[in-house]
Amino acid sequence: MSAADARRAANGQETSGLRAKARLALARRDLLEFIRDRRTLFVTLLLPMAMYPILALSSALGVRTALSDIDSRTAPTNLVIVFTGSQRDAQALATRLGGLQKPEEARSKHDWPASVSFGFGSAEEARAAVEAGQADLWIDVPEQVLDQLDGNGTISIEARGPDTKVLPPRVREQFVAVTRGLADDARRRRTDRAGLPESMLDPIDVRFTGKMDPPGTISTRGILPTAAGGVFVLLAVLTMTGAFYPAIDAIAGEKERGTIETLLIAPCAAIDIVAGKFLAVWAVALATLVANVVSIALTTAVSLRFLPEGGKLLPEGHLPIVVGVSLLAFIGLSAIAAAMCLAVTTASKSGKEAQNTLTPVLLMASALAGAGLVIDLGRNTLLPAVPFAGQVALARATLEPDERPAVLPSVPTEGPTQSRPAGLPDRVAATGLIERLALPLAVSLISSAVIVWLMLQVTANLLTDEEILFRGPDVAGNLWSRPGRRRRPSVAQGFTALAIGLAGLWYAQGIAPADFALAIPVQQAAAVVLPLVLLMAWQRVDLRRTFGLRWPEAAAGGRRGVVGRTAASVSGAVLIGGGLFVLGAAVLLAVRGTHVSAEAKTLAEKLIGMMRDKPVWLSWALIALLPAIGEELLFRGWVQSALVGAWPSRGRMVAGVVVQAACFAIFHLLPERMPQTFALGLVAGMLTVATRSLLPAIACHAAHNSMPLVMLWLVGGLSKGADSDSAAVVQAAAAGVNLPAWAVIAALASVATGAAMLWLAVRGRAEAGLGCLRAAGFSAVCTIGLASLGCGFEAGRVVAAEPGAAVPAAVPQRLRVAVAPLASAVEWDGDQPTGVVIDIWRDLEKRLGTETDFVRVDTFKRLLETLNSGEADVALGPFAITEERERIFDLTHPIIHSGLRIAVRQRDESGFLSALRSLFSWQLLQLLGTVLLLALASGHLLWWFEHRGNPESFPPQYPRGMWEAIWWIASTVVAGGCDNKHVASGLGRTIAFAWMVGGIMLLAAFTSVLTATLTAEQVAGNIHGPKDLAGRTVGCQEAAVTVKEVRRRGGISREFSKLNEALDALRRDELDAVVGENQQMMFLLNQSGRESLNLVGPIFEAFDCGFGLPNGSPLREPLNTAILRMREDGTMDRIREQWLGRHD
Amino acid sequence: MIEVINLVKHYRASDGSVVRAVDGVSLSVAPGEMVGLLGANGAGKTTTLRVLATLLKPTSGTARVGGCDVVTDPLGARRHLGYVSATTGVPDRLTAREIMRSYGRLHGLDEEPLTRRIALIVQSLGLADFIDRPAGRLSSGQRQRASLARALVHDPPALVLDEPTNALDVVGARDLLHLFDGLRADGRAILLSTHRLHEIERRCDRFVIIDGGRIVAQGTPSEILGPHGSLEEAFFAALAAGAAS
Repeated sequence: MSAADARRAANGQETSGLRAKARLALARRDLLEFIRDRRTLFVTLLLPMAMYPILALSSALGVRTALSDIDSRTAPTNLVIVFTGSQRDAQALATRLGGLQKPEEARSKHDWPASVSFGFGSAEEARAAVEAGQADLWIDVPEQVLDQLDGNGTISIEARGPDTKVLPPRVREQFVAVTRGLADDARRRRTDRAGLPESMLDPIDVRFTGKMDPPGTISTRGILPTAAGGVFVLLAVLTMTGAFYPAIDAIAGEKERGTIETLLIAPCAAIDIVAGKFLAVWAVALATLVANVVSIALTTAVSLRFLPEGGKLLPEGHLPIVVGVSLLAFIGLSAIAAAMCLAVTTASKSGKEAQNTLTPVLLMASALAGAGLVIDLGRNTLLPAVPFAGQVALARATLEPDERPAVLPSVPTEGPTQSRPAGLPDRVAATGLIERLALPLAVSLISSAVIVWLMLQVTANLLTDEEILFRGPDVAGNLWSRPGRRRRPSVAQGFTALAIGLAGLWYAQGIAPADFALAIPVQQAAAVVLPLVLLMAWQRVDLRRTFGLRWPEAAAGGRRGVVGRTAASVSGAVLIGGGLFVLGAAVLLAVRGTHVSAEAKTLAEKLIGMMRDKPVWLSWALIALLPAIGEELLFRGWVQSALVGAWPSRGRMVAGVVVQAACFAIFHLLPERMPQTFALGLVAGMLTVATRSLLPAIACHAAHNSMPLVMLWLVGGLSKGADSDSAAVVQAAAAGVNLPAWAVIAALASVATGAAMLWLAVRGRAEAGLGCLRAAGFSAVCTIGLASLGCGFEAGRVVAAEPGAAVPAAVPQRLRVAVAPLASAVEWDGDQPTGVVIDIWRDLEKRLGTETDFVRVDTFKRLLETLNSGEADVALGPFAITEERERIFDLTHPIIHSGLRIAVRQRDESGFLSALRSLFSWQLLQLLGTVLLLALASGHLLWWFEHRGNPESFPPQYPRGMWEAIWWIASTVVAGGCDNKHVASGLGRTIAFAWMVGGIMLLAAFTSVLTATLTAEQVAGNIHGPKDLAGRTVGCQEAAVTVKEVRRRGGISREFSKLNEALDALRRDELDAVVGENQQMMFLLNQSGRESLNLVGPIFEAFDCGFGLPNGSPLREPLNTAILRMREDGTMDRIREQWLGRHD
Repeated sequence: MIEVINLVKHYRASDGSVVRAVDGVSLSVAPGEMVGLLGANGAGKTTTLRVLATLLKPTSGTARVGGCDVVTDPLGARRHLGYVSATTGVPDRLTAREIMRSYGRLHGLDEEPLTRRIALIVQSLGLADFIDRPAGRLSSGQRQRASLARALVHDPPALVLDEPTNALDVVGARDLLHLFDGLRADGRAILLSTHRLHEIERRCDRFVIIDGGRIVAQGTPSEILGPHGSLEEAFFAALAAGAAS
């Protein structure tokens, strides 16, 4: 095909084949460049390969030295002991000692000396020998030592060591072992002498079965994963350096040489160029990886032979698996490293800048790789997805043949230890390993692929960025000069905000005391406010554009319908936020169950503590409103504006929102919260982009954060008196209050509705603001309807389950109930019993779902017998609940509160009439008489003084004048003056004055006398409680306990054979009061003819009554529950009122 | 073949001010024509040419190469265009042949036609001496010729050259320009920018003089020269006139 044909063909759509060709061509070109750079190649590939053997050799030598050092310190030595004292005894002891056998049991072979030699001499000789080092210890042998040894006592041996130098612990240990042997021997002899069997001193014989290290081996198994972990981190770092130089060369180098333009004007999309370069860089990184891995593998294989017990560390055939899995995992790592280096260099304007930027990035990645050493893969299936750390953790996991959780040996393991049954061949262990790691490996590779793809997209965007390509490095004119005003922050400034925020959060958490109540708001301030303040002081931006400080805008633009749109978008956002929280909690529950990590629990407790100790509005502000505003300003405002940029393509917008959401999730630090926060970040980001306003995002976030408060309120944990055991509340809160299905459905509906409202708000035409409102209202109604429907279903289900809920299967179909007649409680009406107790039982029967056969008995004594004999399942009684009764049979919860009560005769007159009657007491009449006389007298005087000068007020004619004067006096006394009269003369006024003052006193006197009269009447007359019985005539039933009680209180008792008669006597006013059992009294008083009688005062000498059951009856639980329910829902009171009337 | 209509390119300097690099430039180059774009440093030549080469996106206005708009169909424009600038370099460790080959592959050419094309270019540009030497070891003149060779691999009907003779000595410059003549004779449209006025005084079909992002004069050599003795004088006169208006 000629060039022209090729051109024509290529003029059509870019085929994927053409694109692949282009990428490969570019990769080839770059690889050619790399390979020809011999020095770099040497450093990258060959040097590390030489390094490992050196490393291994030195570490092997080091380990060997260490081990031999340990050996030398634990190896048995020759023990030389010098005996002084009696020659004969010393010899005997030496012989005995020499004859001791080294014990076979599980005592370490290192304790027993290699040989024991004895010397004899004087004390001075012995001391000299020990000091000189010829002997280890000298002992002054006591007299008759062997006799004593074989006797019954304890001999004491003083082993003397040197004074001038330190006795090695080895010598001591060995000597102790020897003396122990001697002691065992002596024990045996003594038991033999006593005729006792040897086993007397050995009560237990312990044996171990199964696969074990032989005793005495130093277990090096724990060392291997830790040591090898370091190698894996090294491998990760070296792989990254393998990508470092090619990446710099590939982009920054091209920029410096000026060849980047030639690529940019090739008819390839930027992504093709980037992909081609990525392939080249990755190839070099892979080559580095393979070279390193091969070198490590070979070195390991060789050095395991150097290590003592090296073969035990890694079973045969295990090494290839380790190599294979690590290689696969690290392929992902190399790809990520290549993509990352490429991205960073593309963002740089020169090679130097690229190196400066890449080095710290590499350091951080290395730190991340180091973190992989402590990750426990078993805990979390998502951890392998973390770049660098996940791969290192995977590689290290291959070194654990057991399924032990991989922690450093000094840390106690938490996880379950599953040991393989002894004797399983290592091949099986190997396949088990592969199975175990297959999933994490897959996760790691997939995540690597995704990360690489993302980074390549970013790189492609950066590659064609004009600012980076053609504008030289930013030059600061003055070190402190602020950069010019921008519309939005740059990408770098966006990430700087995050970096400052993260640092602030870290330091705030570290500095604040652990139980600082306001810790969370302070952390928020450090993490959110601080970066914004710092950065905005440095870089001026267009606040409106950056932070979306405007009302939500429609896609079509226009300002009309702002109110409707704002309302619709805000309410939609609120619905979405709330629903999102519930959904997130549901998902979290489904995935993790109620297992929460310690940090999550601490955080939840802190939050709950904050919510409970403060007024609701304050905790809402602290938990929902302030964080919402702050985080939205930072993430959806600053960071997202920076990432999304000025005129974003669709791809860039999506990428910006996603990256911002990821940063938002990472910011919250706890892995449990990350998925939910990520979703929230996505939603809020989309809201901001769609409406170009921050307001819906703030609303959404605030609603989302308010949900825990709402849920806590539902659980009832908000009130201060609530269960102070916050662990239970935490569990409930962390477990999302046991989310029922209807809550999830309501959440879904709310999210859908919110999304619909927002769509309407954004897409709707500008004039459709009202339509938005209508739609909003409609959707809100729908949501509420759905939710209520759900509630109704749930409630109905719960209620329908109620009566049955209390019933265990133990309640039989028919119950036999024994009944004895009891006045006021039970009576036989033909063959059916009636009474208040029977009605109560009928209700219980319904609740238990059984039917009753009544068993009639005549006396209480018989009732009890029916229970004991089994003729009846329940005896209605009711029985007073006393201790002695409880011993004989079981009693239910009380049905009746009873005790003694007082009945009195009600007075016929109402209060008013009785007050009137008391007016006519002699005292009052006297007072009135005096007043009238005085009035007459002064009236005369007044008329006399006034009638001449004041004829209008006080007419001169005597009768008329007198009448007016008295009228004036009365008015003055009562009302303080008279309307149409006045007093003119001085004397008259004096009288008038006297009467005014006197009138006040008169009125007061009158009132007090009246009051006193009435009170005295009350006090003197009535009985109000048991204390008032003193000195009164009280009627009661004969031979009842009431007689004793009345007499005890100082009352005069009159006994009647029946309570009826006593009440009749009371009615006839023959008694002051009647005392009897409360229930009976209520019943009797309720009957006709006794309306004039009243129960007064409290129940005294109270006791409760319940139903009787045979001891240990299974009916007690269900009956009690049903009785309590009856009490709680008022049925009990209702029935009692029906029969016994109200007696307040 | 090359069309620029009312091209405007603004960008924001680091202190926030707007720099109008190109402020309404219109020109065109027909096949077989060589147009010289003249102007002082910073006049906007490079920016215009970069827009044509699809390296920059215009703020407004249109630029077309071979009928393809640089904004809507950049790949098509690139296929019709060969671009060499003063800063264009060559990869140090690849030979000229390898460079051409990889570039041809990027353009989607098959191996056979590519080899033939390379042979053709080697012959016409006289690269045989150093075609297989690593480009880092070439002299500047040789490097420029290698760059030009690379730009011609895909047989573009239009060539945009931004100060191609900057780094060259007198001999090298003359040789390069001689090559351009040959290419023009082939029927390609060449847009050439330079500030070495004496070199192109007699070679171009038309001149376009740019100052401050705007065209201050354009036309045939005789029109431009007019009463002035040399292109240089005419150039300064045009600048003065442009500054006045």
